[in-house]
Amino acid sequence: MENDLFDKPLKIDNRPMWLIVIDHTARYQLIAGFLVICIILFRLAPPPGLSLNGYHAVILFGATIFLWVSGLLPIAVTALLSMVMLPLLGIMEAKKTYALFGNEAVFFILGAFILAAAMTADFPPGWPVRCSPASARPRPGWRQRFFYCRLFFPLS
Amino acid sequence: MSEHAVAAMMFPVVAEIATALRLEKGSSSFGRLLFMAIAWGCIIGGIATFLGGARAPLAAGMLRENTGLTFGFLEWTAAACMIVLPLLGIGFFLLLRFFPPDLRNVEEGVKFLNRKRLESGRFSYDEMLTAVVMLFTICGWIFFGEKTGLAAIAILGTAVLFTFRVVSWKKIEEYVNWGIILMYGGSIALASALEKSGAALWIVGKGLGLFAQSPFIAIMVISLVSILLTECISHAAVVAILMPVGMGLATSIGIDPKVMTLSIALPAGLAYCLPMGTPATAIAYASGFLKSRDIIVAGSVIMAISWILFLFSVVFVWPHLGLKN
Repeated sequence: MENDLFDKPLKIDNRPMWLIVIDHTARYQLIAGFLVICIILFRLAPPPGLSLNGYHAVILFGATIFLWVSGLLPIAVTALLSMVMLPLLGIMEAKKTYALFGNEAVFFILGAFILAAAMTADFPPGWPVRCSPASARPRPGWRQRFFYCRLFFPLS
Repeated sequence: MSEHAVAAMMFPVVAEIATALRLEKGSSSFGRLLFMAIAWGCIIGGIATFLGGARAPLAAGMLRENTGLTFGFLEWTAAACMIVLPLLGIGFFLLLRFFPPDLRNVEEGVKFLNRKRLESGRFSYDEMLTAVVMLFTICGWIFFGEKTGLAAIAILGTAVLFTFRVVSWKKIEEYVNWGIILMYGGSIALASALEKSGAALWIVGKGLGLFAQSPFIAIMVISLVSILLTECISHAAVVAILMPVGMGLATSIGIDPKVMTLSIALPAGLAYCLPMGTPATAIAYASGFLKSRDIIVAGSVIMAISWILFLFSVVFVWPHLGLKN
């Protein structure tokens, strides 16, 4: 019991309570601030030369970039969120929005990922090594360079 | 294969070689050279085809959604190889210059590589079948990609693998990055909304109006933004952010949308400078042989060379491939 206590010593945070609360809720404050700014921007009138839908799309685009760069949400979740917001904000019809998810590029990358996964799963870790030239015997002064070359080029 | 998968596969091999050669972390220049070779080899090779990463298919999909134009597998590879091939040579010698080999004897490493190859033995039935399916799929993309679509050929290839029970679905579930696939659909829908609502053109007019005087300057600026941005955020996110703007820019100043797509997607794959830029660099950094300074200094030089090579290709090489700006 005593050993346990010493193995995991209790840490006491001596900072003022308000600082601890701010520190522990920083992420939620950031999200709340982000949401407030988005709502304010959505309620403003569009700038001249831009339609209301276009203005809303620009704000959504900016919000998506912020979430991608800040990492507040996973990239995939941010992308899906931006997609569902399109019909919710009236930027695009729901049917049209969800149809875009079935783009050919999505299915291509799905197929390519499965093929690549089969290569990774099937081939032993040394497959690039297998592809490297084996029997050549360079001059002694060039051995280090040749050895490095055997690794560099199969990789690319 | 995607660059980060290759880096992840090669890391244990190179780590074992480093151990066999008794290379010391922090002081061995040859150790730094080997791990930087993993990172740069994967990054440079990763932009050569559609298979090197997620960004190229995403960019091609966005191009198709916006303009109806398609990229053939060979067309993309031909355009990218004009940058990749010289970069491979330059990268090879640049690394030797930055990290000169400080080792007299590499016999242990050679023995290790040969032992590893012998341990791997002959190609098994499953491995051979996977290689054959991959080969046929790539040939299908090259010769029938435009007619049937790249996606159909890719899915047919996977169907063959499952038909012959080369892989199990459970294994595939572990290896596939499902998050990126979800991101694709969302990004394409958002980009389409920006384009159809006129927002993309408006952003270009307001934000990039100054650079829209000449097509070459516009390409210079957007490729520079792409290559810098990719150091901080994921390659696919760079493409998703810049493609709607780039398509608007291409429409407003009359650049071939295919050139604009390449100007965003190719530099978006060239993240050399920061460990967070790409998993390949992060994996090399994780070895403990490299300091941040090693990666940043050498990375900055190859990044500048890559950008210049890219611009050189835009002006002198791509017009011969039918890609005029």
